[in-house]
Amino acid sequence: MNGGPAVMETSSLCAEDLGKRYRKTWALRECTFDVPSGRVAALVGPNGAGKTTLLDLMAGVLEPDTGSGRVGPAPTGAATPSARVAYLAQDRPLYSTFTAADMLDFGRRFNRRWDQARAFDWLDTFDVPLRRRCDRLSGGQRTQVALALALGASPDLLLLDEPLANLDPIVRVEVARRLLDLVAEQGTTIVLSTHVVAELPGRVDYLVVLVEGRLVLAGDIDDLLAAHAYLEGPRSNDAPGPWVTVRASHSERRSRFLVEHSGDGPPPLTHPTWQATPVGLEDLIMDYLQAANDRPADLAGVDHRG
Amino acid sequence: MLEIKLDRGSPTPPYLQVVNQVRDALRMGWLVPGDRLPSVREVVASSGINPNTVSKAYRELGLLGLIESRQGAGSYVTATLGHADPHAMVKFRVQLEGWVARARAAGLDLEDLKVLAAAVLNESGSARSSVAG
Amino acid sequence: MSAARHRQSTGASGHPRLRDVGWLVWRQHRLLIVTAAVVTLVLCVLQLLVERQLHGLNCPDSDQCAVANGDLFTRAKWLLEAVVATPALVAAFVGAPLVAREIEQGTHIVAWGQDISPRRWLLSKLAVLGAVMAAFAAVLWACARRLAEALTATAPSTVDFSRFSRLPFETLAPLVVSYCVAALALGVAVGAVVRRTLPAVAIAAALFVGSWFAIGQFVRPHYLPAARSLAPVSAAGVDSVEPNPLYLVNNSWADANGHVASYPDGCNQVQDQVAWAACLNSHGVSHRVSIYQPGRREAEFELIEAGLYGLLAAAGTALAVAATRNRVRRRP
Repeated sequence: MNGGPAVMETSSLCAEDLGKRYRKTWALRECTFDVPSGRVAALVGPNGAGKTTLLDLMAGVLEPDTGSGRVGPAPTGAATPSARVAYLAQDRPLYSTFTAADMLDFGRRFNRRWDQARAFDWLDTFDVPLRRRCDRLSGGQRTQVALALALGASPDLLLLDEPLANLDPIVRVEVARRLLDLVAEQGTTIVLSTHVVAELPGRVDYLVVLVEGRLVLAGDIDDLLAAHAYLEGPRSNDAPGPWVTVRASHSERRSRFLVEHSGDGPPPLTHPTWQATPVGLEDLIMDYLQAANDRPADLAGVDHRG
Repeated sequence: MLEIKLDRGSPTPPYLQVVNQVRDALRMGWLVPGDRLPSVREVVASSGINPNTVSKAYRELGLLGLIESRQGAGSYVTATLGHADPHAMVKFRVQLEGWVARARAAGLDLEDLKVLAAAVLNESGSARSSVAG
Repeated sequence: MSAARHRQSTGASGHPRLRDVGWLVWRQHRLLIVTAAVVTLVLCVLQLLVERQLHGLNCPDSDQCAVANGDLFTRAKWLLEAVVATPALVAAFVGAPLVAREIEQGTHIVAWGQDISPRRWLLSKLAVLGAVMAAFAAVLWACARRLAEALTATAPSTVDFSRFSRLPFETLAPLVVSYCVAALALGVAVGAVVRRTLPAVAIAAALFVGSWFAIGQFVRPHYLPAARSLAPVSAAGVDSVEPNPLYLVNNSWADANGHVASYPDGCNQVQDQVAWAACLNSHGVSHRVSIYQPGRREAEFELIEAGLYGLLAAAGTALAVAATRNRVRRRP
């Protein structure tokens, strides 16, 4: 598929009705999706939506209350995993008295497969001092050390919690580029969470949108975009067709509907009187988030399993 | 070598943008049969596009018969896209000049003309891409 | 993927190498280890100093001598108490934070996110730390033993350092080593269950001290079935049955048939030995019953106690391993 070695189905990521509760509140509920191997998936949602909880569950750090997750054929957090999973947790846990070199030494000693060159190249590229204690590194540098540790372990699956946060604008672009190159070279599967949507288009090819612990949208991005359209026309209460309206916005004289049209009647892009335009990724996400905001009780959302 | 640029804000899906850029390059004569397209990794490195997207675009181009991908050896252009007939170009340019003149006489200003042109081109472009995609 | 970039660093089965675990323990806990070394050194030096002072005494077995050198004897005993207290420190400051701190700081994601399972990680760290702490304890004991023997040799009998008491029992034999190992295991178990450092430290210390006290007070006298002796009450007094019993479990009074009889309080007034004996006899009390552990059992008792603490160490380790899982229910 993309020239990477046959890591393939061992690093797909699958969640089935995953849920996590803290006392009376559900941090995550009925979460089901399926990311194929070698994909770059974005986990999107506002703060507190459950993104970190979901990543913790997939990394095998947290125990689910309902449902299950799988990495390839094995359950998440399995004692003998089929795929090597590396996790960049939100607080970038590192041993505070260790230097960056020590952290990599730790990785080298306790991993069966260890790519020393890649780990040190990473730190070298981003000018991270090797002999400074981790508690004296900046937030961005800690991220880079944690990333180097993750990448050194030659993971089949990379789970990244807001990997670009704390990074300078130029560094963000370079990190994204290098992670994508890793996918191209090794066929690694990447799942990254973010609440900055603008950086996603063109970089990620799978989408999971969470709002208040519930899945609002999930699937292959090209399929999702092909299944949606904007319909713009004169002010009216409903969309002019049999399609599911995701969100409507009205002005005094015009209305715009985001519709989802997989299989229900003719596609709106050939509609006679209304103007139909394709939807970009950023707009799609924002409208779904906005719609969930407007109708909190109605968060079942649309299910597209990619 | 062809430089692929991604417009992240465009509603056109990224893989289609890649397809279209290659097709435009073919149409403009910047790529001729036998030229090597940048490898997936090269495109990722220069434009930061997802490699699966690039692979998908190359597959699409292969299906359109425009390129051929050999495992391990890269992707090569195998066809040309006809250049537009120069006579047709002149004819339509004259027609366009007339339209612009009539529209301005009717009171539309430069901005109005740009909006109209963009809307029509957009519609016609997406009609085409929904067929090609 | 070029194989040249990768290195086989653990065995195919994921067993960590001793040198790697040793590196990790030193790198992560060197402050702790150095502190333990310093404490050991300081206590040892102090004990050896006091030991030399004790040997310099020329003390007949008299109250005068005891009082005149009271400070010295007290210092010696406090130093020995300090040695016996060190295992509690091990439980609290070495054991309890081992797992609790990892989880509390979130570094368990790093520690257990590599190719080593949490259980292997725990067992190997425990083994290395246990060996280190045991080594320090052994050194500490070597110094304590010298001090304890000096005390035994030079202190008058009014300075209570006879085999009746707990302190000589606990310092003359290397029990401190088994205490430390058990304390470590217990502390780690508490930390693994509680998962928050501060409470774990407090609980581990309390639990270890409580167990040690309970064992010393209530279990130790009964390691082996006690011997029972009947000594007749006579005008000459009560024969002491065993010159140097290890423990006096119980003293009571009995009649001629050996049945327990209560001590007649009225006989307290009687000063004269002969009259006192007659008084007792008139109330039917003719013998003194002693339930005790003979002194010659000392070595056996030390062994049994070491074994008991060894069992505690094993139990603590098992609990710690059971409580250390990859997945937590709740992130701190």
